[in-house]
Amino acid sequence: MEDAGIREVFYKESREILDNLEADILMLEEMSDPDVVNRLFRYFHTLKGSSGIAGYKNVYEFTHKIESVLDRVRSGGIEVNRELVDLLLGSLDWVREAIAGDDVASGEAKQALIAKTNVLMGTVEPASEPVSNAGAGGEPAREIEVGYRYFRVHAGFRDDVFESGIDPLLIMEDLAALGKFVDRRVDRSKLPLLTDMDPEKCYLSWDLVLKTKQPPNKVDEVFLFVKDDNDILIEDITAMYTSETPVQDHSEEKKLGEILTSKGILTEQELTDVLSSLEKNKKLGALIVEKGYATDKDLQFALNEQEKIKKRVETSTVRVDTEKLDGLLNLLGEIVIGQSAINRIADELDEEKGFQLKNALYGLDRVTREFQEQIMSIRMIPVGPSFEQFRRFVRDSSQALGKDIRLEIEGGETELDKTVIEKIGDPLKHMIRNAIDHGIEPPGERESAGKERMGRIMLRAYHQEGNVFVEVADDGGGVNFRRLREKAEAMGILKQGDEVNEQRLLSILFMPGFSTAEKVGELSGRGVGMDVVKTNIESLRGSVEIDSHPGKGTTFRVKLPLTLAIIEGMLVRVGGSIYIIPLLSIVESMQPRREDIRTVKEKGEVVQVRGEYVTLVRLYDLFGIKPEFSNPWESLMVIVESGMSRVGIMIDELLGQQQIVIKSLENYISRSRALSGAAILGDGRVALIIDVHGLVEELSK
Amino acid sequence: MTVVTLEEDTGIKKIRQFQSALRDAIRAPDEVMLDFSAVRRLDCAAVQVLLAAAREMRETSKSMKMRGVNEAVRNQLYLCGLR
Repeated sequence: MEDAGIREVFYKESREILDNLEADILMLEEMSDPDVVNRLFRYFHTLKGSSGIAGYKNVYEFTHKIESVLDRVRSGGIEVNRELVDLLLGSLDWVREAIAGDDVASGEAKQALIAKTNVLMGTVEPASEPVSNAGAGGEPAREIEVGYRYFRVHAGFRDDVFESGIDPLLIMEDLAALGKFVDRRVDRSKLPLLTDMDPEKCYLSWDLVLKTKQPPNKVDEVFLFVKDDNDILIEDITAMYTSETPVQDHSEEKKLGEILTSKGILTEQELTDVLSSLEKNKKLGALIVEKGYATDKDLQFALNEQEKIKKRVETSTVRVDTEKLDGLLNLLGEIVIGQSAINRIADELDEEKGFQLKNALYGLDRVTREFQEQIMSIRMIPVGPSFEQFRRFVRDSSQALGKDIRLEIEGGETELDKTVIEKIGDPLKHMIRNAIDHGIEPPGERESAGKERMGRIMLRAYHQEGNVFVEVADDGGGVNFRRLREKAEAMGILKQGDEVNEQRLLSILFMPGFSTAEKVGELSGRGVGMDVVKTNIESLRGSVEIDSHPGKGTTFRVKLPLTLAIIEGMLVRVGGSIYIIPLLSIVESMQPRREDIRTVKEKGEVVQVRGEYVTLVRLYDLFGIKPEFSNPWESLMVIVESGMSRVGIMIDELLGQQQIVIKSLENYISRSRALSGAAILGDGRVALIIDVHGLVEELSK
Repeated sequence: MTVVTLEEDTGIKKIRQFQSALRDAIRAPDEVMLDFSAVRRLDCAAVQVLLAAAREMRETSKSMKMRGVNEAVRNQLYLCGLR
């Protein structure tokens, strides 16, 4: 029972790590940054530790091997190249499968990966003897059992050390080869100005903590020729670290000063100096700049790093069931309703008492609004991590097609409701797949068109006017309007000679069963998809549009509401009932003229609006209520749009627009697709929310 | 942009030459690009001069860029605390 609990925790934790790993491995392919290698190492290290605890022995042993490879990468023994990235990605997939319990598939793949690992470890030049802490294909099981030792090393050198032909840096490299530094500080405080310095003198010293499997004498040997007449101190501090202590991660929860010193911008001494002269109410950063130890740019860099770390800590630690948040929001809705009830009572009181009560309510109202915003903000998470998962997809898919495509991500910090993020994954993947398959041309074709061989797909998110926009843009060949038109004519969507603008042509791409691809591709071209993309996005109360320029590329722009829990709605009255129509779907409101109303075969009752026929919906018929007006020319009509269709909803009165907290309807209350939920209005009345998309679908049946 | 090309044997033997090359580059009004393409590894003396130069560049808010840095050198710079 307890085991199952541990496994459950491990399962959840590892999923997050694996996602991060994937993003970092792909980042490594783009730029070989020591920080990224370190992060990868830590991820595999954590996976190794927790898989051991959770009882996944195979994962434990395997990740240990990969950890050793990464250790070699860190020490420069293995080069970062395509081969390494492939190995790491393959390993990641294997670990994923193994954790999911896919034993059958795992065996062969694991052997292949281990063979690759061995080749990689074996082809490395034999470094100065005790480099490795896991021999090539050696005895992993035994090695795993051997614990690590930790040594604190201080290495200060005489200033004339170079004269005896000794290179302190070489010594430090030898030390690094014994294991890894879990703490590394370089004291550069003695380094004079470039003009003043005697470059033949040594000014540097090091304070390090080395984690190694080597015995103490191996560490001593590194300093064999210098320890007598230089300032060398070696201390075994293994006792301070328990055997299962994870690598001390100084990158997390780092304070600003630490970040600046670890990045080599500030020396230890400078930091101590700043800290000692730091007065109350003064910011550390400002003082560092004032003292000239770092520039504003350095400081901004460090602050950004700090922010990144903070964000990573936050998103990886807070786990709240979204249902609980929904519950909170619902409760808050009740408070708002209670408040408006009290407000009404205040209206009935005598002037003075009523005024006092209203004043008190005003304060309460402000707090509840803030409360609501806070709850909403908890549901919001940055889109970055879910965007990152597409890197792998783009890499693998483009390789399969022999194309060279890079995915660029912008605005990953843009926040969006968690539910929305979960639901846009598939549509986005589809649009990206489209860009890979149809958008970006093969490298040769690109070259002859004077473009870079490598194609680019941009995934961009940003806020605008209370909405979030997500764009998938490619720099490919753009939509072939001529072929699009031919295809549309062949399918009978357009007639020959029909005058249509480009936007209208592009919107045909979203029609069910439409595809311009000549061949059915591995990835797309089956004509299933873009209509599904549109439907999915519309079910999130969003919209999608395309912009395409021949030769330059295509952009899909998805507009999404910030959240699914609140909408901007238009309150309308039909008879004695109030309905809410989402503002996003409304095109216009009007009073139809009697002569514009017709009955058309197969379409039923329609209204002619500027030459176009719009199906008329008598809401009172649909819901079985008694209206004030049953003649369309006496009532008002709200024209709404869903996909390619427009319908006119007949109503008695427009009441005004309002922010609506949506409450879901249980299935037994209504099975109608035309309703998406309900809302409680200020006076306690319930209003039903019309699902325009569902309404149109129901009508078309 | 002033480009300083490091020689294959940049190190203690030619350290004064390297120091003065960097000094001149810093005095130039534009950005400095260090070309490491020929360098396989550095020594402590060379890294020290680089560290001092980097610090002075920072103080004058000028940027120092590097190109052609191989893994070994990158690792050495990292060991000496240069980002």
